[in-house]
Amino acid sequence: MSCLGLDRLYRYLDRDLKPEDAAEVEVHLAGCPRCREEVELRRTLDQAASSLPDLEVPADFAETVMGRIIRAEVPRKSWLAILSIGLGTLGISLGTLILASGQSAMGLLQGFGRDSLRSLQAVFLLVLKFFKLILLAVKVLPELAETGLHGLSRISASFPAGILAFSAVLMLILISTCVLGFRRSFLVRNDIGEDA
Amino acid sequence: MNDDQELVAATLKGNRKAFEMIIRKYQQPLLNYIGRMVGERELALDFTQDVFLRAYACLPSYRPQFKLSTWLFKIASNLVIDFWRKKKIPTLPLDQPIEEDGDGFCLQIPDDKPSVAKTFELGELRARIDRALARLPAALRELFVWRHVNGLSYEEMAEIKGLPVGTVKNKVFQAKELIRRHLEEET
Repeated sequence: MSCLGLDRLYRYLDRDLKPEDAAEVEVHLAGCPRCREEVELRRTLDQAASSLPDLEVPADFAETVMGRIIRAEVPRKSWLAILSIGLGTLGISLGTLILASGQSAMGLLQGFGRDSLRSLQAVFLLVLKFFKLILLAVKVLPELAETGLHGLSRISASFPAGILAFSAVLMLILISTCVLGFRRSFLVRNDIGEDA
Repeated sequence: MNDDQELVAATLKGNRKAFEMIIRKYQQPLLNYIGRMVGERELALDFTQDVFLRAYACLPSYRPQFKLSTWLFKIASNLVIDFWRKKKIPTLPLDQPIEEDGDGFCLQIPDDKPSVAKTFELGELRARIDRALARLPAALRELFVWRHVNGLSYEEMAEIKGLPVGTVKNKVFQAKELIRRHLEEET
């Protein structure tokens, strides 16, 4: 038998050869110091590689992972709870309504259909009236603006210029304070504050 | 309640303690594997946590005909591959031949130097193997670690990687030879 190839050598070390092949290798090794040395070298390396030290796992590792799992589950569960409570309340309300009406569920459904149609008609009429109102406002608005401006000019004519300028500055400060205050309260409410 | 399938079934019924037992059972082998793949313990701990979080989330899709250990290693392997891709670390596909020099995969003519096995104590040899591992191509390192550190069988590795058993064996042998060569170069 010729000297061992690496595939045969490693399969011999892995006990992956057929018994007759393994026996043949052993006969060869008995008479071949070079192959014997190669086998021993790789056996030692295998042993060293198979006993590499463990990396240290922190004592609280499992608790930490479970904590992350629980934290991830709680928001999902609370969302589901809100949905369930909402649907449950809706169901109970509908049931109570049916019982209190003293009518059959089918009759109520038919009634609901009729009522829905009437409601739709009412909404349609309301939208029409709203558009009429807007058209009227568009017609009236220029006259209204003219009257407003006329009134303002008469007021300004009856006051000295200094008082008017002071009032304008006061109004400007008031408006800026309102706008800035609203902006700050919006940022704080949404947790995107300037400093935070 | 120690059998993996029982622990999985109990977890799916809402028993969190059962999943904690799964974590305690597999935290060490997974950390040993991931740690040697990414090279940093802290990062490896984060990845090991992610493996368990993913496993918990995907547990309903776990098929009991597979071993839980190989399923967990598959999740870990996917995480590690994603990490390599993000860091642009080259991952040589396992179906390509890996030869660092001309002599390929055959026994070398021994020189007069004493072999590494004779030169170093076992402890020193382990430390050197750990360092040489970092120089292995990532795909070979993974198989070497599974085989020697985690003690997986060739069949389990073939199942995780979706490769023929013969290919996996061949790649593990190549990984061992590369490690040996790196060690010889160091002496």
